[in-house]
Amino acid sequence: MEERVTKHRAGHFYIDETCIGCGACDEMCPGKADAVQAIKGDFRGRFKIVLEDCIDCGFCVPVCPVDCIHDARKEGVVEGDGGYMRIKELQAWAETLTTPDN
Amino acid sequence: MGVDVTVDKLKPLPGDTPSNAAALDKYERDFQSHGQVWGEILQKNFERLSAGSYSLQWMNGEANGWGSQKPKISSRGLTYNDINRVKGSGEIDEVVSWKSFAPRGSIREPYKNMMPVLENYDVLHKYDVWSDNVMPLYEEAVARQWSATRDIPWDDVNGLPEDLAKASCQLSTFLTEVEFAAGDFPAKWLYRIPQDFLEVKSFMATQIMDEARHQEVFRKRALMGGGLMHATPGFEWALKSILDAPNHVMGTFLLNLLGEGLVLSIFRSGEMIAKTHADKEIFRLCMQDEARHVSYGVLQFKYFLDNHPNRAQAEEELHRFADLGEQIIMTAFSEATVNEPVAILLGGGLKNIDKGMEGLGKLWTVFIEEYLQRCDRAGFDRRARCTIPMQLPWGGSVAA
Repeated sequence: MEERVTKHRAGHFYIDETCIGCGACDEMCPGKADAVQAIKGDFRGRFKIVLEDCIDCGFCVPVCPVDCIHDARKEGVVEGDGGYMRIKELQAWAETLTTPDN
Repeated sequence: MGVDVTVDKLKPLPGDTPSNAAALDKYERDFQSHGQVWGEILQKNFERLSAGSYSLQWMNGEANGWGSQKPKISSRGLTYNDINRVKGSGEIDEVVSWKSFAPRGSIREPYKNMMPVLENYDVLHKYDVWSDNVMPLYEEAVARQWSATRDIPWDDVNGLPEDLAKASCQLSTFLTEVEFAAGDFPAKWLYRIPQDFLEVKSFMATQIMDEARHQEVFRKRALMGGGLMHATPGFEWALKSILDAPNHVMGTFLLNLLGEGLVLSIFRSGEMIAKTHADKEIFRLCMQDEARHVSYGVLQFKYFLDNHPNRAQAEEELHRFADLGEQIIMTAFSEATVNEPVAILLGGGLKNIDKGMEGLGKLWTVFIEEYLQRCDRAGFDRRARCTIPMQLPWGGSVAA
């Protein structure tokens, strides 16, 4: 079994919350780095980039269908916008509901 | 004899037994029309075999540089990306001329005149089918298959009150209907795409498998919850419209980008819609599959626009198509068999259906905004021309 790449500085790519979980980025991430990982317990099956493992190759960016992978050096904003954020509004609304019997 | 036989009780005579004779006649005629080629192949091989000699001509691999370059196995294994780094076999032409089963990269040129031509292979431009994420999506699809038989806690669906049980069964019936068409669409086009686009065909095969599993899981869900419920004419017309789309790109737009996008939005809200752990699991597992289909659709659409020789014309035609497509989806979604069960599930019961419609209004806004974002990503500015209102067309709540 090959050893994982060891790095001395963290990568800069990150996935925002608008990820739809298709996994294309996961498959593009060089196997030795394996920096893209499914977020455990996330119902919507989204992925994250483990910065300590990211080698900044950027292979994941062009295959993303929703432009949710960003280079923090260029954007520096860890926020999405638009409809994907509105899911939070829907979730907040759902939390206001009481049990089905009420 | 006490048998009561009257004319009106007589059964009609059996009709003619269906016969394949006509089709077989045609098959024989087609075979005979190519008799010369069949004869030449057989005669040449028969003469060689009769003479006790071997050809071994197939061992000459110089024409494609056999042995000079092997793919490098990456740490993920041997992926399509890895093997496509091999020159020749990994290069995909912008326009395919081969309409046969001869693999891309094989030594096929010397045999060209002896090959059959499959005229069904008529989607010949790469921009009509390719997307820059089709290979990783195929790998992902293969890695994330699941079983509707084993991976759902089926015992968990019982015990819901009747309104929620019926809403779950109606939603499952609707989704079964949708998944049939979602499988038929790639199946219809699969045989029109030549083998040189093998990566796309591989991905489409996974989509067909995914949709088969989805119709299976929703059918099982409905039957486990009490039974299948009502079919939805509005969606039947929408699904037919997807299959009848003028070309693959337009159909992909309507199915993968718009239609499956709507389904993905519903699944992404599955935490709120699902009323049992089994339902949550169904939505979660289906969602990851749908995400791949949407993902392919968006970047296929982008590839088409980026590579079309006349982008302005292509965009205008797609806008014309989208004008219809959006109305098709909106009309379908107006069906009570779709929006009412979702509203009941969101609201938590029939008596909360108005509240549920309010939630559905929020879900609608999410769906439209996500649709427009996907269009943006593909480089298709639909915001000014979108014909679907951002707000739920029939208001946030409807009297029950």
